[in-house]
Amino acid sequence: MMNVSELSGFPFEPDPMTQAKSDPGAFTRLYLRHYDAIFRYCAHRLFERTTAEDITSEVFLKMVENFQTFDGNEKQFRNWLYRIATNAINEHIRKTTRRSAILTWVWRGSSSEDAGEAVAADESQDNQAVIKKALLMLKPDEQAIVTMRFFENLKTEEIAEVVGTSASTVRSQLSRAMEKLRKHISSAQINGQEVTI
Amino acid sequence: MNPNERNIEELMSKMTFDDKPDHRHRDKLEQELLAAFARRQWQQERQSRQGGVWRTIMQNKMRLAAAAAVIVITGLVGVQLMTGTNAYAKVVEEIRNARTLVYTLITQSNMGNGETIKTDMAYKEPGYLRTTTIDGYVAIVNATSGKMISIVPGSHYTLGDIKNLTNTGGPGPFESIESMKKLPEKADKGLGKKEIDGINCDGYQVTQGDLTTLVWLDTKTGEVVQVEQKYASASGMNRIIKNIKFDVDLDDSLFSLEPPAGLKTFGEMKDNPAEQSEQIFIDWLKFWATNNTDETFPPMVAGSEIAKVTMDMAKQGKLKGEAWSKVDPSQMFNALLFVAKLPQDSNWRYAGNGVKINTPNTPIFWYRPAGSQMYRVIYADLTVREVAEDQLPK
Repeated sequence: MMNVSELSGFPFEPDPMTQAKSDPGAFTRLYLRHYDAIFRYCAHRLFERTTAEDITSEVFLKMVENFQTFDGNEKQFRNWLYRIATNAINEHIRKTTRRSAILTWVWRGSSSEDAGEAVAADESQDNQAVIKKALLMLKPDEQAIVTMRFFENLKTEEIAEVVGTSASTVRSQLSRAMEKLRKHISSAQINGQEVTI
Repeated sequence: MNPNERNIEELMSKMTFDDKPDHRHRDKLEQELLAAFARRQWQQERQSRQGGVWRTIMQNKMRLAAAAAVIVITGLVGVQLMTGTNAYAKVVEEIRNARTLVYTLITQSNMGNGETIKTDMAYKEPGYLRTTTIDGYVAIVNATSGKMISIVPGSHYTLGDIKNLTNTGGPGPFESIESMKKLPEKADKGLGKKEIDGINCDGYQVTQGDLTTLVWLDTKTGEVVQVEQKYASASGMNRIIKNIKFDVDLDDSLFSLEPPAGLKTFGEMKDNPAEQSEQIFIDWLKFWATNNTDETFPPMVAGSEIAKVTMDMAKQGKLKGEAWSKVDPSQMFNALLFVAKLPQDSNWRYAGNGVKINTPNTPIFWYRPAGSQMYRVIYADLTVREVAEDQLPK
């Protein structure tokens, strides 16, 4: 009788990235290790679950297409996924009609959620809506950097790798983006009015 | 809100999002990714066959346990279909001398979140079959020589001797697909129009015993676009067939039985009729049900889909590793050949999907032995009774 346990392995352990290129099981494990982070990044940028899931799917399917030519470690793989996600989200947001729809959704969602809530909760919700709106009014590239820095907790150097620039450039962009955020938030009015771009 | 009074960063840190990952989307996407991954494996395999280069990678014990099941099962359905036609040449002529046929077979394992499993099937005259499972496992069958090979990508292969596989009387793949075009003549009702994969279709429902078939035909050409089959008494056998194409260019190298270089072998499996009996099949059902943590019977007993199911169960830690590490693939192979060899008119059904062993009064498998008017019914407590057709599960 053949005992499959006798065939349990080869005398070397390939690195996970190499293994994932030919082993569906290793590939699946790699995917599962990064799914949550990429989904959350999409959700933090788009504020809407269904679209975030759609973009997440797009990201990983694009990853599969090019995975065989990817040459890097798992950390670089993660940054690569963020780069694919950033490009996909930016493209999505740049479509004006969609952007308007997102903003309107954020605004209405906030107003609806506020109804009947306590004053303190109202204020919190209002603040969130204002910040979300302000984030969406940034340029997509700027929003990407802010989101990666403050919601995904990526280091400046890691963001630089994702967006393909230097850490000092990222710091400058981040600084400008934060200043824009302050201006947007300062001028925001919370009175239920429609948002226009 | 005054940004001068409140720190924006602090506010952002307190923001809440609807950002909890949904496992249903994650699992669904995993299936899509594995399908894409499998396609790439196929392409790579073709290239590596030409280049003679294969990667060797480590497999853990549970993957190998799963692989054992893959080796046993993959391709059996196809072999059954391929060898099961008495009118093969006639059918081929009828379908405009089609030389090849490909389609996608989709089943529901009803495990976990009811995941969908896809298997690409490719047939080529005069009796070649290639299946590619969702996980990239490949089985190649040459029904004319009675040989097959099963390949675990990047790891192992197994050669199989299937010379003793008998004609079950069922239709072949070409005939099966072609006959579905005529199903509207037997339809209970029309299902109206629906667009499937960008094709405008007319749908029909046909009921034959406990089998309900929904067939969707291209409105313009009348060709079969999609077939959905549902068994009232055996939901685990439900399936969808789509992406049907005749005359696709399939290179002969896809059906080569030559073992890929660099892979190890699991050995050879032989089709041994002496080891194919109802009792051996029951023993296998018992093995499965007592060696998974849910203590349930397998979702299916034929088809390469079970490979994916086994993989998932192994991944989820549901297989009892020690027992599975001692699996004898040849015994399992022959146990399942008992089912594969049942004649078409045996009307066998499998309803063990999700059923726990020893559940009282629950039929999990039944068939009519050749020459018998009575059916043999195997219950979840693994007892067997003979019952009349009108007493079968509905």
